[in-house]
Amino acid sequence: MAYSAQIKLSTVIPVILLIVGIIIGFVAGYAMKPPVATPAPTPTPAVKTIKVAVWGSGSPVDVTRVDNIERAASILNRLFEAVGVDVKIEVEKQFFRGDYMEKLTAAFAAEEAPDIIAMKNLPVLADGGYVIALDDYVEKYSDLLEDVYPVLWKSVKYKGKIWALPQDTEARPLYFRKDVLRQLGWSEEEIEALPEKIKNGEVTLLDLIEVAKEAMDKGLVEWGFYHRPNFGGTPFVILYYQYGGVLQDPETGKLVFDKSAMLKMLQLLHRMAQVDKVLPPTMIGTSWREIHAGFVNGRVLFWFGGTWHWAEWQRVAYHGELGELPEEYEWENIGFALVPAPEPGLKPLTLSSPYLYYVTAQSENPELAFLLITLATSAPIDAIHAVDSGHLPVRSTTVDQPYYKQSKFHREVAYMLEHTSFEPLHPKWGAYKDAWITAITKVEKGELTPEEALQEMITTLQAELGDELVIRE
Amino acid sequence: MALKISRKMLPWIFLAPMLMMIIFSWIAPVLLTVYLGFTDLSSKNFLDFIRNFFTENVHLTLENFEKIFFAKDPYVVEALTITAIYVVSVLSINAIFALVLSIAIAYFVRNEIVSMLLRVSWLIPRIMPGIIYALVWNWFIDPKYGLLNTLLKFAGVPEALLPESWLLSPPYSQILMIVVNGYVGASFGMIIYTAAIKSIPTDIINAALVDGASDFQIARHIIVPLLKWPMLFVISWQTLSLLSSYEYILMIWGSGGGGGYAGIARAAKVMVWSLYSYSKAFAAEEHLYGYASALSLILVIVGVVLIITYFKIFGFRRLMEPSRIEV
Repeated sequence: MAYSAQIKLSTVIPVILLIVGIIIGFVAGYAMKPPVATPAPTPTPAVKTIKVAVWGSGSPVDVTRVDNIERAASILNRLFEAVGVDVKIEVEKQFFRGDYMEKLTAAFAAEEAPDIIAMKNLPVLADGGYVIALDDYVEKYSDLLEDVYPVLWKSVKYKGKIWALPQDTEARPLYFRKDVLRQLGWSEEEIEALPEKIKNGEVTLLDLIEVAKEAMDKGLVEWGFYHRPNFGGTPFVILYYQYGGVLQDPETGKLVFDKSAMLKMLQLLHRMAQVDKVLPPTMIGTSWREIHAGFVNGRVLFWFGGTWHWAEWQRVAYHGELGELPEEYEWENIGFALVPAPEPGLKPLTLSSPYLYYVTAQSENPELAFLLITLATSAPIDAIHAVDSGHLPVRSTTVDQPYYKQSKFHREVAYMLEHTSFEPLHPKWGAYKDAWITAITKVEKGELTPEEALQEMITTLQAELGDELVIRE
Repeated sequence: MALKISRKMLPWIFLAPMLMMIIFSWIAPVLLTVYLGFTDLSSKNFLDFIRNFFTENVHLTLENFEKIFFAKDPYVVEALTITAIYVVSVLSINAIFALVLSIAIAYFVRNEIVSMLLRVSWLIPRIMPGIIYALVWNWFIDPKYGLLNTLLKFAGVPEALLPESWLLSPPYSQILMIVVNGYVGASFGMIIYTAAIKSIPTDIINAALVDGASDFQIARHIIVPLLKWPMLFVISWQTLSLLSSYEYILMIWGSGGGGGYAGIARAAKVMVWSLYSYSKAFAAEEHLYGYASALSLILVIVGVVLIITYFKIFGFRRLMEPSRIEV
């Protein structure tokens, strides 16, 4: 016997009608074009609107990465208007707080990628075909790019081509507490001369370790040095370079592991954390708040920070009594210098990790997009981003801009770009960094000797990178 | 007038929304994971891949599995070991400790209001947003300002036994990983068990009391055997959850941002398999989606094997049979 459910048709019909109605509504909504308003007769021709989409990311103060494209578009629009060209550029901005690579790949898949992106990650973007090489445009508009700091071109060249324009950069100085040095008996002249002496190689990191020990022995500070709680490049890459290490072979583009430089770098950190005990052995993993609060409140003498931290201390309440630091307090109590030479005979250095503007492969107006990024990095607009976000300029003429000149800090750190270095451009750099930070963590904690950590690092990197790694003695 | 719908069709109509959800949220991702696991997909070849999706132009390869099974990846063995420690330990808290806790709260605590308050207090970490929970732990374990070391010292633990850093010093870091996940997970088992204990007919317990059974005997011989179904559910569910969970580890050990957290997690020996898969897909510059899918596929297979094993251990077939006792 066949079972069947008896449902009254009068109950089912309204439900069916509702579902059908919803479907028809959706279909009709998609199919029907919005009613077109009858164009009113107008004496002027219709203005052609070109939409340019730009995506960028960073902290809230970095929003100028996308806003500056709008400023550049505004300049072009005024030019068009002045010469009677009926074209208007409309900029569609999207700003993210973190990495947006997944959103970007999804946009590419949907063929809705933006025209311009501001991010790092050059090797993957270039190898993956997300962005276009800009050599032809750079040559065509070379007169507009003459004032880009020559050193920054290194950061946009990959496999022999230029893939981006530098959007901003920064330096990673060694900050020091002037008030603690005063308490140690240093004169004002000696304190003010310290950055210059570091720059000339007269004062090395070994000298500062001794100063740190003295300050700790006298109970003036809890720790001599703090560094970042994660990789972030500073001071690890800087020290490696200072010891003569190379991270990328300029000919083959392969990553390089210089055993001697790496070992010396690990030995120095081991000495600081385990022998001289001027660096906390559990520095890695320390909270950012503790790091900033420790330095800002004078519990730490030296801090391997970044130029952007100067602005951060003025905006985030790290100080126990003052909260957000007034800039006058910073000038009175905090100084900055290049990362000193680790030992006599070596050079002081800093590190930059420029943010880059790219033109994407799906841009319908690549030349216009290029012009926009060129204008967005031109001196007056570059100055706005540099000062507002605490970064360094990408154009040498920016330092003469009135807005930039107002900032004493920016004027005084600009020289660091002449002593800067860069991280390698390689898709497997992330794996290299992971193995490196593991070694640093274990060495500083005293879990492994520098030699053991070096060996572990080599084994890991050989397995992870294979042919993409060159090991040098 | 009446519309006749076949009796066989009716359940499918009602099940359709749920089946659709299962197909799109579970079966399709698993199939996609299987497919991607056999490719070398990364952000480098992503654009080519989507152009050739499911065509013969996609480069299918066994390389990912060779890397995993022939130890070409130096982290695989370590990640596997840490995952085994993590899952077994946290599962013990989630399933066994939660059972003890539930019996204590739902049977031994006779006052309903006190019982309810205790249940709610255990649920607090589950109610709390994950990021806040992780942040609170970060503060709690701070060697200098955190409460944990102070409390342990107060409890008489010698200072020499306390770690310099709960984050970085194994096995303390692993204990932290287990406790953080176990504490929040125990509340899930507790709710399921408590509901099951509350539904046990009081006649059975009263009869045992009349026969002179002690509370412990009642818990041991009446309550626990009657919780077989919930135990199977909690253990299976929690096993699958734990195999794929890494969020608290990521939030606590990666809270500094700025890159390199995978290296820090490795140094602290808290790099579980799912976090390793995540780090390969989303943290490294090149986004190795193919390799990460292969790693995830191993988790799916391990999960299925474990569920089948649990069914065997708990006698799933017998549990599904209708009761032989006339109620």
